[in-house]
Amino acid sequence: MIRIADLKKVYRTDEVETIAVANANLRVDVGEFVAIMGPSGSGKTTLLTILGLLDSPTEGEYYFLGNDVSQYSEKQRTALRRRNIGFVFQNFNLINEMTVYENIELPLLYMGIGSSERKAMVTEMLEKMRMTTRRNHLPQQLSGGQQQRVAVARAVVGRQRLILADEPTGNLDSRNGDEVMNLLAQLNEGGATIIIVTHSTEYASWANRTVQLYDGHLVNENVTRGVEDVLELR
Amino acid sequence: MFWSYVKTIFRNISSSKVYFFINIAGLAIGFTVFTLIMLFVLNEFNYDTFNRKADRIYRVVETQKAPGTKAQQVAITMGALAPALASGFPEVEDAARYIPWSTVLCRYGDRQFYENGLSFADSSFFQIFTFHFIEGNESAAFDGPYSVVIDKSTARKYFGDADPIGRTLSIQAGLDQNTFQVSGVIQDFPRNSHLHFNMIASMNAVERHSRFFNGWGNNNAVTYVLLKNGYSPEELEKQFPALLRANLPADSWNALEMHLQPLRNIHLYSDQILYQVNYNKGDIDYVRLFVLIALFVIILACINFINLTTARSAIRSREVGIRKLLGSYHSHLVYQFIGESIALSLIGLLLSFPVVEALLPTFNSIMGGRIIIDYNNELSFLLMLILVATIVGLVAGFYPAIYLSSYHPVELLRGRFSSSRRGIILRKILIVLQFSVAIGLVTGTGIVVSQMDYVYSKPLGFDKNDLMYIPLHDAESRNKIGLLGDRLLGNPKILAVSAGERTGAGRTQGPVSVLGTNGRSRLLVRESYVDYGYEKTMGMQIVEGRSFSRNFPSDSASAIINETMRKILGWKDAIGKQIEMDNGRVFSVVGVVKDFNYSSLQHKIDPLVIWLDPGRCPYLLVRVAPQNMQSTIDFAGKTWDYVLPNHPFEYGFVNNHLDNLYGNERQTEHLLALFSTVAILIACLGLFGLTLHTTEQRTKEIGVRKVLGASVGSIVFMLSTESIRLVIIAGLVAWPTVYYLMSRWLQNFEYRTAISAWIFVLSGVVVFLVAMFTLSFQAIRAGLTNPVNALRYE
Ligand SMILES: Nc1ncnc2c1ncn2[C@@H]1O[C@H](COP(=O)(O)OP(=O)(O)OP(=O)(O)O)[C@@H](O)[C@H]1O
Ligand SMILES: [Mg+2]
Repeated sequence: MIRIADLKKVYRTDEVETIAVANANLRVDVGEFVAIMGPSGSGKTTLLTILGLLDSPTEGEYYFLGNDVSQYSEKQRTALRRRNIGFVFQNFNLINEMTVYENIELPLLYMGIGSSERKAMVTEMLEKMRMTTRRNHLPQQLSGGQQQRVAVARAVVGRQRLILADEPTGNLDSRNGDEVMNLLAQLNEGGATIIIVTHSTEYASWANRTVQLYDGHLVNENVTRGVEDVLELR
Repeated sequence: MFWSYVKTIFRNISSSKVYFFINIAGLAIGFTVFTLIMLFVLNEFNYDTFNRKADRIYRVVETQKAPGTKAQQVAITMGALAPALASGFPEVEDAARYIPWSTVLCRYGDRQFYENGLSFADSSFFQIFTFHFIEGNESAAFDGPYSVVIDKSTARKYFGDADPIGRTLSIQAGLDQNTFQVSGVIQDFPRNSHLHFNMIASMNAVERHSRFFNGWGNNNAVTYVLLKNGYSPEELEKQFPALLRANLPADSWNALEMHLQPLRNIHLYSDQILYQVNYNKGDIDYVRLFVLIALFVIILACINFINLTTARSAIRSREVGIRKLLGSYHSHLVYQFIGESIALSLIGLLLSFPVVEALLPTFNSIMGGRIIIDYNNELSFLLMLILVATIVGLVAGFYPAIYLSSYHPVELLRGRFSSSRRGIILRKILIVLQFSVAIGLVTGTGIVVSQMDYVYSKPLGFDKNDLMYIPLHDAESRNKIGLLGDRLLGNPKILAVSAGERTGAGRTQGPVSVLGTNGRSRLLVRESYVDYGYEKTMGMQIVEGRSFSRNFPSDSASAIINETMRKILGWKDAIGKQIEMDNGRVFSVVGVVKDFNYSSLQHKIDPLVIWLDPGRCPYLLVRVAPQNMQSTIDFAGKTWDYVLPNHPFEYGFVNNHLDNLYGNERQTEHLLALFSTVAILIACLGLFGLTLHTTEQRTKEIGVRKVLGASVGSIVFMLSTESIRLVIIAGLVAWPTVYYLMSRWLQNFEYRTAISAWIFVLSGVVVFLVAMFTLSFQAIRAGLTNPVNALRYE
C-alpha cells in the first residue's frame, strides 16, 4: 500500500537546518498494523505527516497505492487524502463548535456523499462506537476517551483504508487507552491498514510490526525495490 | 456543506459574542456615518439637475480687472446682454435675465406680508428652466407687462382656495405700478436649486420703470443662456470679446472677460464669484472633506474587523486545520471566510438603517436642512450602499481570509495554535493608523474651534453686540427715520439710533475717481449710505476729521473714507480731498473712520466710502442696553406700529447676522466634532476588543506573575505600555498631516489665529486618556483577579 524510498525531510528555519527524516525506506502492505517508536524529536510525527499526504518530502520517493505522490501538488494530495486516509491525534482535534454527529459527518461532506447515504453512514458509525445517545453533544461535554472514540469514528466513517494515529493514547488513562487500541485493532481486522506512533512498548506490541526511528533514521527495515502494489486508486 | 458552514459561523458568533458585537457595532457606526454623508454629498451634486435642459444651460460670469482691486468674478451681468445673446447668435436657443428683488411688502385685501422671494425675469426664463404649471402656462405667463407667476404655497397664503388667476396683488416694489396680475401658478420650485423664489414677475415691469436694466453700463441681472443641442460653450465664449467691444467704451471692455458657467457647476463651484445669485451655495472643498471623512470612518471599522479577526484567528485555526485535513481546498476556505465577512458587513449595513433614520433629522439640521430625500432614487441609493458594504466586506475580509485559511493541517499534529503572534506587526500598524485618524480629527476640530472662537471674538472695529436692526423696505419707511429715532430715544434703554448698513457696508461696490499722490485714478470702493450719528451708534471710531453733522448743511456733498482707502491713495491728510462719482458729482472728505470688518473675516478690508443719504439706508439701527432686552424690543415694535401702521415690524440683531456669515464653517465645526467622536469610538471599540483578547490570552501568564509577587499596578502597566506607545506614535504620524491640512483651511480666512501647539498636545492627551480608560478597564480587571482562578484553567 505504501512504499517510501530514500525519503528525506529537511526543515529550514532562519538559522538552522533540521534533518527530521533521513534516507528512510519503509514498506507497509494492505492490512498491516504498524507501530512507529522512537525518542522525542526523532521524526515520528514528521514521517506521519508525509505518509498522510499533509506534507511533501524534501527528497526521495513515496508510492501511495502504487502512485508516486512525492511531487503531488497540495490540491492533488488533498483530493487523494480526503478519500483514503483517516487521522487520529493525541489531542483529538474535534471541532468544538460542532456536535458529535456533525464532527463525524464532516469528512463525508468533503467526499461529496449524498445526504441520505451520509446519514446512514454516520448513524451506523455512532452505533459501532456506542455514541448514539451522545450524538448531539459538543466535544467539551465528553470525556477524553469519548472524544477519542469520536475522532476514530471520523477517521473511518468514509471507509478510509489507511488510518494514521499519532500517540492516540497519549492523553488518555490506561482504561480509555486500551479501549482506543481495541478499536484500532478491530478496524485492522476489518481490513484497514493502520500506522500508529506510540511511546508505549505495550501498545506497540499490539501491532504486527514495529519500526524504530533514531534521529531521523529508520532502523531494521528492509524494502525490496521495484515491486509495487497493484491497487486501484479511489 | 454550506449549511454546515453557516452553522459553525453562528456557533462561533455565540461563543465570542463580545467580539462579534464589537465588529458589528463598528461596521454599523461606519455605515451610519457613510450613509449620512453620502445622502448629503449626492444631494449636493443633485443641485439644479431636475431641470430637463440642465446640460445646455449656462450662466454668464464676468471677470473684472479694475485698477486698484484684485481681478474679481461676478455672476451679475449687463441687462442688455441676454437680449443681445438671444437675438444675435445662432448657437443660442434662448437667453433670459433674472433679477432677485429686495424684500417687498405684498398685499391682497387685508392680507399683507413681506416677501423676500420676488424675482423679475424674461418670459424665456420659463423656457430655459423646468417649471410645472398648475394654472396658466409657460408661453402665456408674461403676456401682460405687470404679470406675476406665483407658487402654490404663496397662492394659498393670499387667496386660500380661491382661483388666483386674474386676481391682482399689490406689490410695493418701487416700480411705476404696484398692481400685478397673477397669470400663473407653479408647483413650488425644488429646494435643491441655486434659484430661490416664490413669485416671478415680468421683466417688462422693471424695464418700464427704468432704462437702467436695459443697458450695457450696469451689471444688474443674472444672464442665463440655453445653448442649442450640439453647440459647445467655447464657441460662444470666443465671440464674447467682439460683443463687448461693440457695446462698451474702451476703458471698460478691455478690463472685462466673460465666460459661461455650466448650470451643474453653479452650486458647488462658485466660491470664487464675488457677486452672484446662489441660494444655499455649496462648496466642493467641503464635499471632498466629507467624502474623505466618510471613507476614514469606514476604514476605521474595517481595521477593527481585520485586527480582531486576525487576533482571534487562533480560535478558529483548529477548525481550518481540521477542514483542510478532511479534504477542504485552500481556495474554498478563502471564499468561505470572505463570504462570511461580506455577510457580516451586510448585517452591519442593515443595522445602520434604523440609526440613519433616527439621526437624519438632526444631521439635516446641522447641514442647514438642505438634504432632500429623493424617493425616485432611493432604490439606486440602496443598491449603492449594498455594493459599498459588499466591497467593505471583501476588503476587510480579504486579509483575514488569506491569513486564516493559511493554517496548515500539519499544525494539528504539532498542537501549535497560539500563533496569534503572527500578523502582530500589521495589527500594530493598523492601530496606529486608527489612532492617527482619531487624533487627526480631534486636532482638526480643535483648530476649527479655535479659529471660530477667534472669528466670533475678534474686535471688528465696531460693536456688534446689543445692536438691533429694523429693515427699511421702502421710501415711506425711510422718510420716517427721524421720527422713529426721536420716539425710540424716549426710552432710556435705547442708547442711540441711526440708519445705514447693518455691518458698516453693503454688498455693492462702485467706481469713484480720486486724485491720489500718484495722480488721478479710478478705484472700486465699497459703498455705505448712512444717516446722522451712524458711527456713534455703531461704535465706530473716527480717526481723522469728523462725522456727518446737522451743523454742516453741506454734508450732503461730504464723504467719510476708511483707513484702507487713505492708505491706498497715499494721503497724509485726507480732509478736504475730492472724490468724484461716475455721474459727475463731487464729494469732499470730512473724516476718516478706523478700519472695520464689514463682512466675514474670510475677506480683507477694501477701500470704503460712507455717504450721508437717509433715503438709501436699508436698516434702522438701534443700540440698546443689554438689560431687559425683550421689553426694549416690545417698545420698539409698538413705536414702529404707531409710526408706520401699514408696515409689519421686523427686527434682528447684528451679532446673529454676523454669526450666520459662517454657516459653512459652523457646519464643519459641528460635523468634525461629531466625526472625531465617532472615530474615537470606533478606534476604542477596537482597542477594547484587542485588550480583552490579549488579557484572555495572557490569563495564565498574569496568574503566574501574581503568584510570583507582581502588584496590580505592574500588571496594568505591563498590559498597557504597548498600546500607549502605539497611541503616541499615532500622534506623531497625525500631527504633521493635520498641521498641513489645517494651515490650508485657514488660508480661507484673511484674518486667522496662529495654530498653537497646545491644541496638538491637548488633542493627543484627550485621545490618549480615552484610550487609557478603555485599556485600564480590562487591565485592572485582569490585575485584580485571584491568580488561583487564572491558573486553574489549564
Ligand atoms: N516545522 C518545523 N520547523 C523546523 N523544525 C521542525 C519542524 N517540525 C519539526 N521539526 C524538527 O524536526 C525534528 C523531528 O520532529 P518530530 O515532531 O517529527 O519528532 P517526534 O518524533 O514526533 O517527537 P515527539 O515524540 O516529541 O512528538 C525535531 O528536531 C523538530 O524540532
Ligand atoms: Mg510527535
